[in-house]
Parts: sequence; structure tokens; C-alpha cells
Amino acid sequence: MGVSSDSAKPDAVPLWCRKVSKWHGNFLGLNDLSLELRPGITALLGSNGSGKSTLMNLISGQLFPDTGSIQVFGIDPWTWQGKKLVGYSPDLDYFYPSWSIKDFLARMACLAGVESKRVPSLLNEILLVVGLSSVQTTLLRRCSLGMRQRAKIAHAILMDPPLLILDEPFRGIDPVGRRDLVQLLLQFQALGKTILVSSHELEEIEKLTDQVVMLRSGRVVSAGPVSRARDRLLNKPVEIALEIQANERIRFLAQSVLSHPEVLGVRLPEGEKHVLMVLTRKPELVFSHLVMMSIENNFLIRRLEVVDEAPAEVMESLFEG
Amino acid sequence: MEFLKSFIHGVKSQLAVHLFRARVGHGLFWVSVGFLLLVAGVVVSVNLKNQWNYKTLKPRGQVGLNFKNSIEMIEVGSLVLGHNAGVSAVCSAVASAGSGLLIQSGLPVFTKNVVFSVLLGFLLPLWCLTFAVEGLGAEREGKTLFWLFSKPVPRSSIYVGKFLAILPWVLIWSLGGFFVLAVCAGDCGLFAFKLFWQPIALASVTYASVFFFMGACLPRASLIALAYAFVVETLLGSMPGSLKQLSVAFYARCIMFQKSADLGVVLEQGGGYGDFSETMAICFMMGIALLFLVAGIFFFGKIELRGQR
Repeated sequence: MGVSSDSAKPDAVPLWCRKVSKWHGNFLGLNDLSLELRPGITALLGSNGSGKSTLMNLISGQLFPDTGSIQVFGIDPWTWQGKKLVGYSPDLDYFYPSWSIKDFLARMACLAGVESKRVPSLLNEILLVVGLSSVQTTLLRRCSLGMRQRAKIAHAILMDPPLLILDEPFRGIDPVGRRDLVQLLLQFQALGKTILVSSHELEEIEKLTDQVVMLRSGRVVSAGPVSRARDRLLNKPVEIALEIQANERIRFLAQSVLSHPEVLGVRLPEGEKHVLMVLTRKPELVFSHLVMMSIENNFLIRRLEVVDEAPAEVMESLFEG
Repeated sequence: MEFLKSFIHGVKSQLAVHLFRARVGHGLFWVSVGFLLLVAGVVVSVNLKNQWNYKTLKPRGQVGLNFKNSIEMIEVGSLVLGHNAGVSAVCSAVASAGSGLLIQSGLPVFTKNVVFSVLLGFLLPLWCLTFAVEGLGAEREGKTLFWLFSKPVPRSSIYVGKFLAILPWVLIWSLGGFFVLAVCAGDCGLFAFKLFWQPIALASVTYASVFFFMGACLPRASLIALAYAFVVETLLGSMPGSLKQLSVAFYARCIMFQKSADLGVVLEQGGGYGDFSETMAICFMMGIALLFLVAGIFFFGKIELRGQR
């Protein structure tokens, strides 16, 4: 199916990012990110604003890194040669509304360099693969979200690229379509392609791959098997801020908290006389311990919270949410 | 060599996809149609009154009599002074020459009042921006640039291909509009069309290049293009002195000035249009078109698709 690319450098890594940073105005979208992908399916996970789409736009050559460099099979994806190697299904929903699905794909094939005599057979094949054969003459403005999503995937695989970047490909697709898409991506994996998929549909992701890259605030916080990411993030200590009303008892409180086996350390932040910072791997146990202490020693708690977003919460929202 | 091959392919594929698919029916298109009909109506009404000549104009420094009255006076004079054969002959000759001039004065009158002022100063920029701004501007506004940028062809080929795809529409609309006005004006209009279609076509290509650049590289391109058309082409282009040299219309007028001067017709005294030869004016217009084309290729090549979702 499709046209194989001849511009890739032999033995080059499918995707190589080195110290990549990207600013969106005053917002740092990606922060000194380094990443390397091997053939197979890798899931890209992270909450909204973590930098997933920025990374995908950089890999597909729609954005240019402010610092660092990206190579796809040894070629800069910003260049036209690099575009031959990447099939990208973006998380955008803007089409040419007056074109039919078939016209859209035919014209995209023409723009991509497919010979006109090859276009009909290629389209038949791809429309069949993505399940749009029966609705190919439907105008894009009348298509459902799921149909447009499939049209984007068809566009991404049009040139049979060795690297596929799929941003939220399961969004809007019905359960049968999801199952078919999972099968399709597994087939591509079997053909030796490299596929990077971002999704909030973790059920589908778990069917696809064990390899995940987790982003947070534009950085890779974990890369590798899901189990390793889970262990690493769940074992990362977090800091709890405890604020009480009477500052004269803060040192007594610090000593008492330290006696708890799950507390790794405490500190008194400068300039905040009423606040105690507690470091622990089990915040839920320390929380109940602190509440018990406040009742026993009769001091009033003003504030009790985890100061930064706990990795455990990230994992929870991603895997169990 | 590989780049050149890819560039040519990119241009060809853009032409294949977009050449016959210019977007009509948008707001600016109907504004253009409206102005064409309005001006055509005025031209027809002037034509019906047979006023495409100097008959109703007054010679410089004269009060009361217009050209037609003056010639009639001379004719009457030749009759009154019939007893003096010499004077009568001179009066008759002057009256005949004046009548001949009046008949032939349609070209400068139509050119000055319609082609120089209304067409070049207002209609042509408007017609050109109707299609040129839409070329890549519609892709920017519709957030569909991704579909072009994801293709394995140089960005420059996308820019050039799209520009060439809108060019026939710009030319058809500009020359077609000029032809409609010429037909409405009658013989003098058709003569002006035969004489001036080339500078109008060249000005259209130059405008297309300027407005296409705006559409491809600037946000709110339609508004910026309209502001440019009115401020630079309409206002600056009609100002006395050398400021008008900033407008594209000035160079088109220079070419027209030379072409009509070759026929012995001086279109506008003291406008500075004789200062540039036809070749120089052509070079200036082509230079502006090329400058904006190159600038567009450069800036378009650096566009990142931010905020596309």
C-alpha cells in the first residue's frame, strides 16, 4: 500500500529529539526535551498543556524548535524531504467543507506526489482500510466527527510513511471503529513502522502498547514500559504544606511529624512562620496522621495540601480516570 | 536537482488542484461586482448623452463658452466675414480642425476620467485583491494550511503554485471588467481597451503579487489590502508631486501616457507621467511584482502552524 520513502538515511533512528525547547509566547510548551523512539507503537501521555501536541507538531515539521534539534530517520522534519517520512493525523478539525471525502483524499494524494493514474486504486485501498468506502462521496461538512477522524487517518497513511504521528486518533470513533483502528495500527507495527499515538482513551492505548512516554510541563517524566512509569511515579516523594494558627508550636509539631515512619523529612520555609513542609511517599497516610495530631494536641490547621501536582494524581487521572 | 524536480512537481500539483477552484461568492467578490455595475452604469449614461469628448469642456482661461460653442462661434465668424476670403478661409480651417479634434477627443476624455482615475485608482486594486488575498489568505483563515504544509514539496512551490493558480482569475476579472467598461463607453472605450490592455494586465499581475503576499503572510489580510488599496493607490496615487510614485497605478499610467503620446495625444499635463519611459515603468512594475513574490516565498517558508486548533 502507498508509496515507500527513499529519503530516509539507512540505519538512522526513527525519531531523535535532543534538548528541544519550544515557546508559545510566554508559555514554555516543551522544556529541554530529549527523546528517542524505536520501531513499534509508543503512547504519548500527559494532561492538557503537558506538551503532547507541541511535540507532535514539531516531529511532523509544523513547528520549528527554538532550541535543540529533531531528526526523523536522520532528516530534519521541517524540510520537505522530512515530510516524506512522517504521516501526521493532527488533533485539528478544519477541512475543505465543500469537498467530498474522496475528492479531499484524491487532491491530497495529488499534492503529495502520487501519480494521477495510481490515485484511484490507492484511494480504493485506503478508503477500505479506514472504513470509509461506503461514504466516500459525502461532503466533509456533512461528515460526523468519527468520519472526519478516519479521513485524517487515511490522509496520514496516504504516502505509506515509515513514521506515523497520531494525535488523539480515537476521539469521536465508535467502539467498532476503535477496534478496527487498533488492529490497523498493530498491522502497521508488524510491518516495522514507528507509531507515536497520543490519547486519553487509555483502554485502547493499553491494547496497543506497553511503551509509554509521559510528559508533564513540557518534560519527559517517564519513558519505557507502563509498569516502570507507574512504579517510578508512585514512588516519587511529594511535599505537603501544613499551616497552623500558632507559630510557637511549629517546632514541636515538626518533631512529632518526623516520628511517623512514612515521613522522609521536614523543613520550615523562610519567611513563613506558621508553615511546615513535610516530605513523604505516602501523602494519604501522613494526612490522617496530621489530622489526628491536631485533635490530640489541640491546634488549629489552617491549610493542609500537596504543594505540587503529585505524580500519583497524574497517574490516577491518566490510568484510572 | 532533486529540489528543482520537487519544486516543479509542487507547482504543477498546486495548479492541478487549485487552478479552476477560485472561491467566488464571498463578500469582496460581490463588492467588486457591485462597483463594476455601478461604474458601468455611469459610463453607459455618459455614452447615451454622447459626452465622451471635449464638447462640454471649456478651454483654459475661458469663461462662458465651451469647446463646442467656441467652434460654432468660429464657424459663424467665417460666414460673417465671408467678404474677406482670406480670413473666412482661416476661420473655416480652424473650425474644421476643431470639429475633427472634438470627434477624436473621446480617447483622452475616457482615459482620464475612467481609466486613470476610477479604474486604476480604485477598481483594479479592488478586483485584484478579491482573488489574490483569497489565494492563501482563505487557507490561513480557514486553518487548512496544514493540509498543504504536510506535503513533501518545498514551501516555495506551494506559494508559487497557488499564485499561478489565482493569476488567470485576476487577469480575467481585471481585463474582463475593463472590457465591460470599454464596451459601455462605445468606440472610444474599445479604442482605449486595445491601446491599454497591456499596462492594465501588467498592473493586475503586480497588484496580484502584492495582495497575494498580504494574504499569505499577514493576519487580517483583507482589511490590510483594502487599506493599502485606498491609501496608497487611491489617495497617494492621485496626489501631485512625486509621492504618487509609491503607487503601482503611477507606473501603469506612465505606460499609458507613452502609448497615447505615440499617437499624438497628451493625456495629462504636468502629472509627471512623462518622466518615466515605457520600458522603465514596465521594469518598475515587474520589479515590484518580483520583490513581493520573493518576500512572500521567504516569509511563507517560515510560517509555523500555531493556534491551529
